[in-house]
Amino acid sequence: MIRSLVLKDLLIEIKSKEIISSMIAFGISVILLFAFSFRASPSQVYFFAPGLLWMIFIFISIILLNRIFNLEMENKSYEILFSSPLDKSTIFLSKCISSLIFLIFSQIIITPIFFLFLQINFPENLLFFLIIIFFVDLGICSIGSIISGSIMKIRSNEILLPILFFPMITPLIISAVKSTDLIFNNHPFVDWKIWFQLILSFSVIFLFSGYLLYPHVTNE
Amino acid sequence: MLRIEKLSKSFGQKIILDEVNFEININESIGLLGKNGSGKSTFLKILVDLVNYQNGSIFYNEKKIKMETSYKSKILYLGHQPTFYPSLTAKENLLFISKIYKIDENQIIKKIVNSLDIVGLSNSINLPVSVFSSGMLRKLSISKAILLENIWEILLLDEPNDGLDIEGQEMLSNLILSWKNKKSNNNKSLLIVSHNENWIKNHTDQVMHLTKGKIN
Repeated sequence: MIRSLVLKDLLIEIKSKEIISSMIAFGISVILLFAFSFRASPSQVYFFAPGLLWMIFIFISIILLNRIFNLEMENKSYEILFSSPLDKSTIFLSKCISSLIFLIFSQIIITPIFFLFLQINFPENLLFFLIIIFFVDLGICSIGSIISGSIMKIRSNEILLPILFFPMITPLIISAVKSTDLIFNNHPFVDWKIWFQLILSFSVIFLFSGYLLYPHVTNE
Repeated sequence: MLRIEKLSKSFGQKIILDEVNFEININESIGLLGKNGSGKSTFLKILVDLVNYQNGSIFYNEKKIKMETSYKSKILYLGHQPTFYPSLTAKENLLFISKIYKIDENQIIKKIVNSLDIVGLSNSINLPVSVFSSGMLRKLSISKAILLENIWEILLLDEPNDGLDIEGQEMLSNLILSWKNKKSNNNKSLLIVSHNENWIKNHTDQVMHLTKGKIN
């Protein structure tokens, strides 16, 4: 069932090309702005790069979350899902997975451009960097899906989403920036283990909370 | 089959449903009349979990329900405003719906083509729903009921003939008649909401009125 729901989101995106193109366009614009506005030295770039990278990722997440839930608002399409025999937790998981796919796809395009234009090298331990990105993305999509689902039917939900989303993901983003910084500077796992544990716990807790709470938060 | 006891719903200070009691039995078709804003659509939406209710109970086959998926698979709601994904085609929308209702994958396409043929949309099968007129959307919504007719036991129709041309209204009348005639085999019940008294009297066995939050 989740597969059908995710495939529906992917099909809509393939046809409309709205979400990923806006995310990539925004991400690249910010990178170019920073790359050409500040002529920072390599050491300065390494100092702010992790923070900048995650700022870009959370801003494109907002574009993603706004759009992916508004897909259901067009023609009140959410009524198809909510009046059907689908478990609402399944809807939550499908939205999480669809968001995760879109976010990862955009990051695959944006991240190499980020390294190229800011003239920094890919981290030596690329695998750790990718693992961090994956789990932070999972946290972003879980929290984002809970919030977006609960405010979907509210007018001006585009404004409400960042107001609720940013404070909730702050611990996750701080951990992401800290661990990315340590990975960029080739620190061993033991140095950023605590941040990774925090990211892992945060993402898993919100994924399970969303699964349990979604049927209640999406009620009128 | 479906019994509602003391169901209440209000929006802020405005009471929409005031301890409503209602019952629809197997093979019964009921028409619900009421003025604009009387709460007819809200009542239907409550039955399919699109709107919450404050007090009361809903029983399905004498079992108190909390909107379990087993109940929701037996009750199909066709709203006043037909809802589909605008960027998907008619076929893709119905294919998605048939998957969430777990229709047997064999012959899905054949069933979709057949249901669109019955409502007269076979030429628009590959058109995105965004280009559909309101009448076409209504027909597409009716095709959903045809596609899922082996699954639902209660069909909730909200102003089903709105936006339909004469041909479409005739098609809808024939369908309602066929569902009523199939009753003895399939346990189909219909609850139709409208403000068109003549139309509803001609298409249902019993007519009720929703006035001042009460169904009489």
